[in-house]
Amino acid sequence: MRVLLFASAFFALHTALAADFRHSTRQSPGDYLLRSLDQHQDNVFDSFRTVELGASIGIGSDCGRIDVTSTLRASLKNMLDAKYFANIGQNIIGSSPMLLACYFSPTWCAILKHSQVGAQYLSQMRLDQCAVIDKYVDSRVEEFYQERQSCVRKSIEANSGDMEQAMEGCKGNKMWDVDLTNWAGKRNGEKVTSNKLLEGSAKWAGFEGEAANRSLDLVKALVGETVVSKGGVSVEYGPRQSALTPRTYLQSLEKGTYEQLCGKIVKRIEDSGPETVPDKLVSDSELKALSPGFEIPLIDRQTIRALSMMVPSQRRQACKTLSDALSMTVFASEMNRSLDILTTLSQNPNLPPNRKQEIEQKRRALKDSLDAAVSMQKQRSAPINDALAKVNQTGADLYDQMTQQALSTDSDQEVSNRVRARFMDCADGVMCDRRN
Amino acid sequence: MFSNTAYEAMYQFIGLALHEKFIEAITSEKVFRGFLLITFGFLFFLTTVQFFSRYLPGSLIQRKSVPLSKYVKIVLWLFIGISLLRVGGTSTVKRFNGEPWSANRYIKVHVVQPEKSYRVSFIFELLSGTAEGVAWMISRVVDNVFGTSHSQLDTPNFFFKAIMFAGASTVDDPKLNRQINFYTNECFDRLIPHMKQAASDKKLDSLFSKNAAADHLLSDIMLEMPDKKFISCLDLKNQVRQGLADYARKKPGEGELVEMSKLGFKMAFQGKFTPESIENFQASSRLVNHYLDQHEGSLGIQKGSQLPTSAGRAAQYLNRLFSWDGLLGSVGYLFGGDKFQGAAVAASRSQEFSENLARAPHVAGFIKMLIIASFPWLVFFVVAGYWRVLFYWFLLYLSVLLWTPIWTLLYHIMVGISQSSEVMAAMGELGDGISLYSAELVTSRIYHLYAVYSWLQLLTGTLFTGMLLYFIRPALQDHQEDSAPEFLETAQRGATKVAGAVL
Repeated sequence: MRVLLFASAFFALHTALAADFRHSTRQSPGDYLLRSLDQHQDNVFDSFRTVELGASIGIGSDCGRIDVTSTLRASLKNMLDAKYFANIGQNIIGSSPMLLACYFSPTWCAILKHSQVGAQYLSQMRLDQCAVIDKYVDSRVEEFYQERQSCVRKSIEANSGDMEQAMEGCKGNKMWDVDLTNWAGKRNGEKVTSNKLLEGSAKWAGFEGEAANRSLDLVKALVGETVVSKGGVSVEYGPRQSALTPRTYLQSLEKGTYEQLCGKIVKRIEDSGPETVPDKLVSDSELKALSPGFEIPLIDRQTIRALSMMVPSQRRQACKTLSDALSMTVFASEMNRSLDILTTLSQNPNLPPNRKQEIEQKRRALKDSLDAAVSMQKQRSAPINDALAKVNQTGADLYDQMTQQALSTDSDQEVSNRVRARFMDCADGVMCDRRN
Repeated sequence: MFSNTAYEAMYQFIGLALHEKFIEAITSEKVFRGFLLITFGFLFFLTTVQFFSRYLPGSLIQRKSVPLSKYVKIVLWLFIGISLLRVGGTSTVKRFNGEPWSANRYIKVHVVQPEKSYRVSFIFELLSGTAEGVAWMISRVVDNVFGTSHSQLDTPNFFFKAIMFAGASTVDDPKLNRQINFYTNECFDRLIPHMKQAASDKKLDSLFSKNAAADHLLSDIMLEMPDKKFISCLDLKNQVRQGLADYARKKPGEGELVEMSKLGFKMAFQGKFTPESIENFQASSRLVNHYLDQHEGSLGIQKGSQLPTSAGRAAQYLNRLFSWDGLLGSVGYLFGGDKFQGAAVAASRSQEFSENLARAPHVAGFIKMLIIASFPWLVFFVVAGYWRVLFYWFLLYLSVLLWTPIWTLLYHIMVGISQSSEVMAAMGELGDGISLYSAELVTSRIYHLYAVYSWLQLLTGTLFTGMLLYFIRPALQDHQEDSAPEFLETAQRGATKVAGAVL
């Protein structure tokens, strides 16, 4: 039992002696300036959410392929329905054209004429209704109708105005079995089987390269990429494969930056001990990765040094504040670029007007969402310059203290030697320093 | 030749070496020999002219009555002068207990090839030996009669040095420094406001010494370390105490100095205090110096302008305790001894103290060096007939030697003042444990007293020599004509009147 007690006491003493007495367990008022206060934080809004894709909405109506004869017949049939005209018109509709009817009976002819007008009127109404329905159901695929109209117009010219032949010529197995005009412009190919709204416009605008792709991917994730293909329309969200709101994107940035900055870089410096100069422990690529999209890294080694000098609790707060501020800066920069991209893409002359409007709507929606997210984040996030200034100032003070302590220790050692030399100079013949 | 400090001895060595070289130069160089002969010849010619002036017409020369014995005097002066240069004895620089200084390390470092003895002229040996003997005897008597703690002649300034050396201790171990800072910053401010106010309790002291009430409070404060383990302020306190105790023992060579300091205390206080109180005094002084250094750095950075830390506040309140009042304080202030008040870091104090230790002995030694080295050159004065210069030389040398007994007397008086009830009470408190206040009080008092003493040394020494020469000099002057004593003239006048009346 005694042995156990002794062993545990020894272990406790050893642990205590090995402790580092550099840190502080208290918060000074200045430390609160380094803290970012997450007010109104709600996981419901902060967690990632997967948005259901509107893939292959399809064509909900056949209004684009109205058969005039059938329509007229149907209209006439309705008009001569028994409930209106008993069974008078049934045979007429079934067996004779209108001229035949007029031949037999002028009265019936008049009636039929009137009925025909009404049928035409009804057919027109139906067409209008179809148009409305089409627009309502799936306005995004009218490119295919436009393509068909374009085909019919060309066929009419080719068939010397024979509409029936033109219609027959452009009539495929399915409505969407046509190639679409490439939204990326002719230089990227005349026709394509599918059009992507943002990607095609980006090609047209000449956005190429890694940076442009990254920005475009972000835009896709934020507003969704409209893909028109095979008579269907779908929405894609780029490589992330999930929709992002500005707020969730900002928070993902904050999380990633915090992990990279505080979880990896600063921890590495902390683990290496006070005897290591932190500069060489941080690579340029790591610093650059902290501020993507910026030519000059927003955080330099001085700031990392400042963080490494802080006591753990202070460092946690400073890291959070700094990563939040850094994320906000990166976020603002990327969002600004996204809006710029959308503005540029909306100028694409190869887009149908409704698609241009769609991009404009996307831009407006993104901007509104951004405004809301930024105004909410502003309450708890300091500007990067303020955060950097605070961290660097705190770090400079700590460095100053550490320098003073180191010099003080140096001075103390020198003082000890001098005091020893003075008092033990043997000038009294008694107090002699026997080291020398 | 006797000296109780190597500072004086060093100059004596240099003076003797110069003395030896000068004799060699005067006797070997033809210029000096020629000058001596010219001096003698000129004096002889002048005396001859004066002697024969009585036979010459008064219109040609002023007649002067010179006795024939003047020639005897001239020859005698020549003989004495030459004997000043005749090497016939040796002189050794010794401590008052007879040990030669030539083996001392300080002398070996500061003097080029010090010799055990130097060859000097017989007359120099006679005169200096007489003066040294007289001074030695008086010094010994004063030291034995007035000494209360230790011999100032054998162990000079030991009382002050022992205390100041212990008081100048610093902590130059970075880990221990960090530990003290951590304990101070983390525990002081959390504890002091909750400590009960009692007149007898000194809060800073109870944070380091054994104090049940403070320990109970300290054990309630838990600190989270970076490794997520907890440590109480009481554990920290014990670690700091242990670290301070181990510090001196672990440091190479430091233990020896601690023992030396203990010896100094033992001699200075005649065993009144236990070794524990001396260790506590050293540990307390280390803490005081640590806090003073936090308050104001040795690099001259005014830390007072910064936000006060716990350590800085401790230093501020420690400094507030001491306002040196009274006559001694005024004297100390006038002579600059008070300039470190409130900013007394160990380096400044030890430097000032070491300067105080050496200042007066340096002055005395330098004057001795000049006197010793100048002796061979007296030959020119003696040959020229100014033989009284030998007496002046002797008086001057004796007066400077007598500074030692004067200073010894003064030293013992100052030691007596230093062992005041206040200082003794503070030392008594240190027997119970670490006490920053007591350590600071003792060091401060001793430091200022020695500053006063060092200036008084110079004042009394120069004053004594000045007064001695002022009063002795008229007795050696001979510008008045020889005449019968006044009482003889009065008696003569009376006798004449009586004789006249009788006749």
